This record gives sequence, structure tokens and C-alpha cells, in this order.
Amino acid sequence: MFDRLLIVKVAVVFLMVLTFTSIFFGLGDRAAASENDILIAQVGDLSAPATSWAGEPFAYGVRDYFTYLNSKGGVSGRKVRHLLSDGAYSIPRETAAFKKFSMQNIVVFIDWATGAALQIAPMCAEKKIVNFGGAPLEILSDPTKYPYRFIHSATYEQCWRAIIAYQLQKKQGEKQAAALTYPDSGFGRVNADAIRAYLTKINIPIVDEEIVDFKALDATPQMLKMKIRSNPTFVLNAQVQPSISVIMRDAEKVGINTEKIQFYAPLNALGMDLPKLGGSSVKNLILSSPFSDVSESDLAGIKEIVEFNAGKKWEPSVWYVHGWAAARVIAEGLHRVVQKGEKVTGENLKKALETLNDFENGGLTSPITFSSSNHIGAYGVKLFRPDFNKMKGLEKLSGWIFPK
Amino acid sequence: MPEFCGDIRENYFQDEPIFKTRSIRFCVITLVVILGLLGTFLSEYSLYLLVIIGIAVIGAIGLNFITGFTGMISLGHGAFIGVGAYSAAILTDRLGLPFIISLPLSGLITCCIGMIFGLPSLRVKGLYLLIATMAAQLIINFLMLNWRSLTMGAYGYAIPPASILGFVFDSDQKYYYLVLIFVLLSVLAGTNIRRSRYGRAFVSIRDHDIAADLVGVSLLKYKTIAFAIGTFYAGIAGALLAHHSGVVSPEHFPLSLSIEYLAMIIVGGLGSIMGSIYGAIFIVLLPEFLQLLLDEYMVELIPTAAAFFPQVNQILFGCIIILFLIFEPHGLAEIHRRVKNYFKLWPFPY
Repeated sequence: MFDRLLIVKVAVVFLMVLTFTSIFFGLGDRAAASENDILIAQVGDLSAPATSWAGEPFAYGVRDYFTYLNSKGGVSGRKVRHLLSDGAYSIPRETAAFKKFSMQNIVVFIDWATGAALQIAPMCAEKKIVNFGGAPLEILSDPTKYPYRFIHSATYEQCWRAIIAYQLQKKQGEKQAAALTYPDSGFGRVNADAIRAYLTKINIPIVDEEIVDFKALDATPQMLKMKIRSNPTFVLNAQVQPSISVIMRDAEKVGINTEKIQFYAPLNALGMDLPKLGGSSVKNLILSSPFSDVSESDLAGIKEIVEFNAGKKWEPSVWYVHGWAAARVIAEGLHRVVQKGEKVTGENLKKALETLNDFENGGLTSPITFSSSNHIGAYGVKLFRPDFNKMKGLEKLSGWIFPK
Repeated sequence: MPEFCGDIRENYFQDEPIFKTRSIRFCVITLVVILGLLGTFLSEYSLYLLVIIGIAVIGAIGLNFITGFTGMISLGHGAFIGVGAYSAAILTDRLGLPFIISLPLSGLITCCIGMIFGLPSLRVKGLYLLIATMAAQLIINFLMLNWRSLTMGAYGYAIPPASILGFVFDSDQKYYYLVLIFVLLSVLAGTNIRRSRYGRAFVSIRDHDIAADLVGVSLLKYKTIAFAIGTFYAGIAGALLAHHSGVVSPEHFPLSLSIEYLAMIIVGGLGSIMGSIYGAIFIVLLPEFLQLLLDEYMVELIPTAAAFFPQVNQILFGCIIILFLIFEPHGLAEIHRRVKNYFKLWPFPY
């Protein structure tokens, strides 16, 4: 007998087959609203718990800058159309998004996950599409391997070098010994390798290494071990906001003097809620960032951000600044192409970006210089502390530090 | 000579073919021809999705042997696919073996590594086996990340594109045909294994292992064989994925990949080769379908809600799988079977 429920199921499956077919035959593809529009595509992590806390503001920072730019006349009268897709931190989905967008006439593709970037960067080179990303890693910076990939800020590795330079300058003449904490993940291992390589090069011993996961709710055993078995003068933590709060809280709990033993953390640990999450234990934490903070309202780039978001409900975040800064660099490249009277293609944009020399970028990053042999645009790193006056956000500790 | 009406077989030889009637054979050949023609006019994006689906089909058939046919729940399938991928990378890059040799070797290596984890695990079943296979996933992930001299750690292992006798599969269209051949071979092999005494032994163990043991089905032997077949398929899928991606890294094979494969065979239909195919298509395409629906159509209808669409996408994905489990627990293959049976008699009710 043919029951009604089966009819419903068959109808649902038929509808899905129809829609799947539309995916395959590109019926859902959206062409540019106008032939004159410049297409920029991006895939970000907007939903996966892994990195959406950073991926979402980064993606919206890029999107919002282009919206802001279009409201000011676009690129010499030409609108920039920003296409955004959610990759959910999945490499096949990010790659599928690239394949989908690359069928349209995009000039820039912005990716997110490092694993996806390793796959997409060579594809961008093949299709001559300029490639930016959310992860400023040195492994993706070689212009001979990834000729269309550009990094618009100091890399994670440079941030660590800046922190170590700051520590050595602050404690000049004193013998130094470092300890590390990092999660047992790709991110943790890459950062730990970079730190180890540099510390070995400048002859600073590493006296302890502790594994603390991003999702850890307790780091007491690791902090106890650090206190009892080693005597570091500073601790480098490749962590995120929640885990660094846990580490600082537990370090204080076991009696580690965080005024004497300086704790540092990178860009990924920057967050508006550090004072609330960590309480007084994060008072002595120093954070590094290749980007300026939204609290630096005197900077041209921050003024743009504040102007755009006036009256809107938005969550200030260094990742938003990261996205806005990337979009600014891309826009500058596009301006140069259009001003030269050339066609806006990935190839021409690449050449235009390689002419950027001490480009100010609204103060959001240190001045940017690209060349055909160097696609890491900036080297400056700033240091911040959690702002306990406002109990939210960050307080600037230093101007741009340029590590060697 | 008397003439018979209907599908009559007079000896075992006539009962052996998979495609028993001329019309079935015609339909299958037509389907293969259509699949072949698709590669000539579909876009790169569509071909990329088809390649991913093809690789997922091979992996899902493997998992169906372990879980669907034999009843052993495995949460380590993603890691075994990773073993296949890294094996292909190492055999091709370091040992310089050609693709046509490294591919089956990757399957065999994955099979051997699967046995290291599988043999001790076969003494347990149910939730205990689930935890044991999850341990395999975590251990293999740890080794992928930390055994840097072998796997290059978090930096990823670059692998050249597949090539056979100088012909390089360096585009999605070429790779589609390569994967299509392996999918057809996998489906054919899987169907034959299912129909053989091995397949019947697997099913008997799943349905009632004690009774199967009593009638002489060696539990250890056939569970081992099922695990070996399943991990071999996973190794092949991993090797194909590695050559397609061009780079392998631990990020490609998280625990969520194992869960995704379990979702494929559950939604598609446990204990069914067709179920593996339907499940792979469904799980790979559903996020793309939801993205199309929400981000391209709904965003123009309700632009103010656009910020929530990525999260809604994830929620809808989970809800659709739950609805499937509630309303069609036997999966998409069961819907196919019932529709097929209906049209066998149509327009007659019985």
C-alpha cells in the first residue's frame, strides 16, 4: 500500500534533488549586480564553535569596510561587491566556496582556516586571483610558492619576536629563562615551534613547556609544575581569551608571582572580556597584536570604524580591525589599478599591491610595504594590557615595536 | 519449448548476476553514460562537489561494512581516512611510487594500522567499541600532529597530483573521471562482498552474534575481515582525497569527520550499499543547499536576519538529520526501496 507519509517523503526528496540539481547547474549563482562592479569573495568561519569568535568579526570587518567604501563613492566610482560564504572551519567547504566564487569574475579571495589556505593559495596562483587570509602565518608568505598571497600585517612569528624583544629590553642585564604554554593542536604546535626556534637562536633557555587546551577549565597541575620544577622569568602563552584567563587565574592560585614572572599572550588571546573572565589575575598580562585597538580613537582607521558603526549594535574586536585593515589594503591596490587606467584583474591588482611602499593603512597596522619578493606587508607589533579602568577592552602599552 | 512469464531462474548460475534483467542492465549502463557525460559540461565547482561525493561514497561503503553490515560502531573512520591520505603522500613523495601502486598500498597500510586498533577492540562491542575506536581517532590525530619527521606535523604534507603513465590528473574534470572509476569499482566490489558468504556472515553477526557463533560463524575471523575491508576502503578514500587536495594536514581529519561518516550511513541507510551513496550525496550537498537557500535567496527576502543565517544553517543541518532519524530510521535507501516496490506493481495496488 502507498501511504501518505511516503508521498510526503518522496516529495521532500524530490524537492531536494531539484535544488541539488540547481547547485550543479549553477542556477543559484548570482552574477555581479553590474558589469562595472568589482567582485571580492570571502569565506569565513561564521558558525563553527572552533574559531567563529574570531572568524565572524574578521569577515564582517572586511564586509563593512567595503560597504563604507561604497558609501564614499567606491573605487573611483566603481562599487565593490563583497561575496561572503560560511566555511564553518571545514576545509572542503572553504575549498568548495573558492571553486564556486572563482567561476565569477572575482579579483580577490579571502580565506580563513590555515588548512584551507594551504590548498587555496596555489589555486589562487593558478587562476591569478589575489589571496588574503585571516591567519598571518609565515608558512604562507613565500612569494615563489604562493605568488598571489599577501599578508597585510605582522605574522604570528613576528609577534612573538616582538614580545621577546620587549622582555629583553625591559629586563636588560638580567638572565632570562622562558616557559611556554600551548594547546596540542596545529595552532599550538606552529606557534611553539616558532618560539623555540627564535629562543634557541638568541640563546634563551626554555625551562618548561606545558600543554593547556583552548577549552581547558583548569590549568592548576600545569601551573604547579611550572612553579615547582622550573623558574622562568617570563611565560609565553599561545592561547585564546578563555584559556589565558584560566591560566592566569590558576597561576595566581598556586602562588606564581605574575608581577615578577611576566606572562605574555598573542593576538588570539585579545578580547574585550578579559577583565571580566580573568578578574584581577589578568592585570599583569601583556598581549601583543599586529593591529591597533578600537580604543585608539585618534587613528584615522579607527575613526572610520567608529563612524561606520555609530548608532549600530556592534562588538568591538581586534579581529574586526584585522578585517577592516585587510580590506583597506585591498582597496588601496584597487585604487592604484583604476588610477593607472588598467583593467581590474587579479594580475594587475597583484602588481599594484607590490608597489605599496610605507602605505599608512589608517594606523591600523604599521606602514605596509610589499614587493615582488616580499609579500609580508608589515612588521610592527603593539603591546596591550587588559583595561581595568573600564573593566572592558584593552589599554595600550607600547607603540609599534619592530622585531629584528 | 514452454515459455515462462516473469523473472524465472532455473539454476544457480542464472541467479548470480547482480543486474539480473536486461532492463536493469540498460538502466545501469545509461546511468554510467550520464555520469560520464556530466564531466564534459559541468562547472569546476560542480565537479569538485562530485569528486568530494565520490570520495565520501568510497569511505561510507567502508564504514557500512564495519557498522551497517557487522554492527560494530566505529568513531575512528576519519582517522583511518587520514592514514590512507598520509600513506599516499609518503609513498608518492618519499618513495617515488607511482599513483597506481601507491593507491592500493595506501589501502593495505590503512588496513594493517586498522588491525592494530581493531584486533584488541573486537573483544568488545557497543559503546565500549565506540570508545575504543574513538581512542584510535585521537591517537592517530596525535601522531599526525606530532610525528613531524614522518607527517610534517601541522605544516601539512604537499603531494603531487595523481598521474598514470604520464597522464596527470591536475584538473577537477580529469580527477572526476578517475574518482568515478574507483567509485564504480568500489560499489561493484562492495555489492559482491555483501552477496557473498562473507556478507551473510557479517549480517548474522550484526543481527545476533551469539546465534551466529553457535551455528559456526567465527566471530573473530569475520569481525576482523569486516574491519579490514572497511579500513581498506577508508585508505583508498584517503589516498584519493590526498591527491585531490594537493596537501594533507591533521586539520583535514578531525573527530567531526568520523561523525560525519556515521551520519552518512545512518541517513543513507545502514547495511546498504545504495544507502552509502545516498548518504554521501546528502551529507556533502546539504550544507551547500542550505547555503544556497539562506545566503543567496533568503538574504534578499530578509536582509536584516542575514547575520543569523550561518547559525540557522547549522541548526537546520542538525534538525534535518534528526527528522530523518525520526521519520525514516532506515534511511534514504528505504525510501528508494519502497518507491521501487510500489512501481513494480503500479497501477495495481497488490
